[in-house]
Amino acid sequence: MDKNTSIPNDILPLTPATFNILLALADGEKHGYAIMLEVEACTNGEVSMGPGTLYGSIKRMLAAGLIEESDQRPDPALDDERRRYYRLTGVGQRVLKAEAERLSRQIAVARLKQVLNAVS
Amino acid sequence: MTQRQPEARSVALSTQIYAAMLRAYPAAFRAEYAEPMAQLFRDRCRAAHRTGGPAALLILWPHTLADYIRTTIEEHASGGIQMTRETFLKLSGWALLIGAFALIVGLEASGRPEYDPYNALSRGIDRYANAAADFLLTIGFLLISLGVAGLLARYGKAAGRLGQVALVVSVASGLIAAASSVMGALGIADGILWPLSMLSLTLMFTGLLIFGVSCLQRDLMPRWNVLPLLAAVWIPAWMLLGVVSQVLTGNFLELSQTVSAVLLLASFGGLALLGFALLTATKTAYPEAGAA
Repeated sequence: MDKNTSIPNDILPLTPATFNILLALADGEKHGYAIMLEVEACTNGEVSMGPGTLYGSIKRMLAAGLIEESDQRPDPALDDERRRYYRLTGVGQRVLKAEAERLSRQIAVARLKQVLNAVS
Repeated sequence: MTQRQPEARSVALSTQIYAAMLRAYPAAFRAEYAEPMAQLFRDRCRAAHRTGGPAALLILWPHTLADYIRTTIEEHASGGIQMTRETFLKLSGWALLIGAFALIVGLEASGRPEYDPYNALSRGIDRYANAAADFLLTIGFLLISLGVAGLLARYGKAAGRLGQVALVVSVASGLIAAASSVMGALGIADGILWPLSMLSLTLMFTGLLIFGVSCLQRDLMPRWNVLPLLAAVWIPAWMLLGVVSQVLTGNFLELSQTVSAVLLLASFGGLALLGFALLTATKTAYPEAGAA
């Protein structure tokens, strides 16, 4: 596999928290509270991350190189300077894609076995 | 810079409490993330307060407390190891089992007379029982609190708001009971220790009792639904009868040694069974964890 497209071998499958955070950052950088709101909105409120879960996950994702801190502020005039923004790294984007494809394959199997209704 | 509205008192208080609680995280984690975590919690409190007033904060706290307990342990345990939800639930189940046993032994030990070689009622083992009683009670209450926090993490959302709040009260009361045992060992505030211990013990079981009602109403623990109620009902019932007796006759209800022993065995044996039920539920929900 090419170095530019490789992802760490042992990182998949992702924990639900990691996957949801990566997904929340897929369309742009966000601060912690915005990530939390985005995850709640995307899961219809089924996943609600507390501060400990969110920042514990962020710590591990920074260490794994999936995300990085951003110095830019989307709208500095409206925002608190102390907020930290996070964005996906290249590795993070590839890992997110790989995990989404993995889940998609599992959904396809579930449909095949009629656990879920097949797409008409 | 925009002018900020004065902070609502309940939001400010909640934020201050949470900021103080963050001290329990490891220093390195705290140095990096305590400020954004406090800020995130403040944002959540403000949003909750805007939509539901101070009562909405009471709904926010149980979820935050469950997250806090789990991730505090996780960050201390980590050093590269991740504590998964199922690991926490398994630990909680064991905590209830061991905590109940520690409390039974601790209460028996605390009931022993002071060791005195010239007292016919005192035995040699009392020397050790006297020394171990407060330690066992402290460990027992801490473990029970951890176990109830596991119930909160596993069933809190499904238990509804009242069930969640009841479990939080139960966890907090267990921690207060543990603190009063420590104070007892250190000889601090002896005058208030007895009422404080009894009040926290009663509240701990009352919280579980209310959770037990939620269990029955919502079928939270199939095959075990009646267990939390059966484990939790005895001590609050005894306290209630005791208070009624105090009001009517001027004397608190005294129980014979046998009845006391049965009552404590039913209560703490029930807690141990609850721990077993939590372990079983965790194995069912995460079969791969049970196999590991």
